[in-house]
Amino acid sequence: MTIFHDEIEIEDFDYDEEDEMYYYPCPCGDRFQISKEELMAGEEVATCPSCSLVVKVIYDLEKFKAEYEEIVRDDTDKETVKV
Amino acid sequence: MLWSWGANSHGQLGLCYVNEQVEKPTKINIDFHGNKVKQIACGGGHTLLLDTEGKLYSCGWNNNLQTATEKEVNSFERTWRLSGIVFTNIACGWDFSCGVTDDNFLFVWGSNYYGQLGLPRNEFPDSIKPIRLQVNACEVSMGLRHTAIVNSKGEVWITGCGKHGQLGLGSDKLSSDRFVKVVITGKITHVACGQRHTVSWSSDEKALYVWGDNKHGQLLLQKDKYPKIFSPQKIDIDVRQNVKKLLSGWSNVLLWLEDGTLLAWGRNNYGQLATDQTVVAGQRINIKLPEGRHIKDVAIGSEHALCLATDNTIWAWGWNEHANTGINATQLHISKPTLVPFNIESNFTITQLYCGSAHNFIVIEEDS
Repeated sequence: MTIFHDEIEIEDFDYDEEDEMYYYPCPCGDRFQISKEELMAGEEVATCPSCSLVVKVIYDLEKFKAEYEEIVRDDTDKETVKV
Repeated sequence: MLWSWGANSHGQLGLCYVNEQVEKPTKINIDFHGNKVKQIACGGGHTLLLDTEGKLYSCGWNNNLQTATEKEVNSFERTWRLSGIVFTNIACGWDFSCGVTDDNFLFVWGSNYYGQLGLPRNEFPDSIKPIRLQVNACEVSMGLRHTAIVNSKGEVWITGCGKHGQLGLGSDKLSSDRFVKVVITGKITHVACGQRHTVSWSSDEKALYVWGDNKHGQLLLQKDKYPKIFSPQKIDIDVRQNVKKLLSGWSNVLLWLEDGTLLAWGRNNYGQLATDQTVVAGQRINIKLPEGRHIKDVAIGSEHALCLATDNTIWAWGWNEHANTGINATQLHISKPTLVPFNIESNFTITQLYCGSAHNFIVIEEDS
């Protein structure tokens, strides 16, 4: 069984739109990270590239997927308008 | 002379290189224009250094301008942006920093994403260059995403993220981007911000005032009954003497008293409380150095601590994955005060020690 250093709500992560990654500080000085893609696939373990600690991401998968798909749909609509 | 060790993923050790970790105390070859080191403050991955003339130097992670330099540097460089200002005290949060000037004003810089610099978010976005606040600050502490100051009247003023109650402004005020006064009856002398909590000490009432997250008993309250506290809670821990230092790790607290007693409480999953016994919420651990050694100074990291003894030895405990403690990195946790291997010549004395998240500094001076 994985021992989590902590359980962190998704809204407490910092989101980087450019690399589509979610970040939360790790006590080693680096950051726990998990990609949007991983979250979409139901992954809930954010890892730190510098140490062995992991945190569990608290989020609602269905809600997360729905929000993302809505954004994609919006973007698609805009594309359509442009054309 | 300055030595450092521990995590170095962003050059925060000032050793002129970046790597995952430095396992043993290592000498930094630098001369601060003939001045001595007055104080060091360490954040998540950055470091500030104040010399005896009040000049500021910095190194390490600079993704949010927390080192107040143009570029990210891995050796201590003078922060020219702040030249001409005489600082008397410095502090670092995770990715933000501050300095108190000789006329008691507060300069802040770095991340203001959560309003932790006390600057309105609509005018001051995420990463801020140094700016002077009209705030009178005597004591200052910065946590993961919040900042607390104590002014000359003994009042606590606080700003930043308060989702877990760490602002102590009540359950309907869960964030602030200006310093707001925390309602406390006692006069506060010491304040310390943790990951998601705040602890403070009132010298006239000889009592603690605590607020924020209590998931690991870091507020000395029952975890199940009080998972979070949104307003300051006064706690009498039957201490009738003055406090030398009140320090907070991410989820653990150290209280060093005038008679030399060192008390610890909160999370102990990596030996942060220097004991391998099961610790219940509300329990205070009296940390003692072996063979009756006396404590000269103490510093706390995110999940580890360092202690300087009067016989010129360094003792450490807690999380050790990055050799944070300076003790053999094959031991992931150090659950009792353990000697940090370090050879020092007989005519030199260790005078200061500091911890960041997982990195450390000691200052050594030749005996005069």
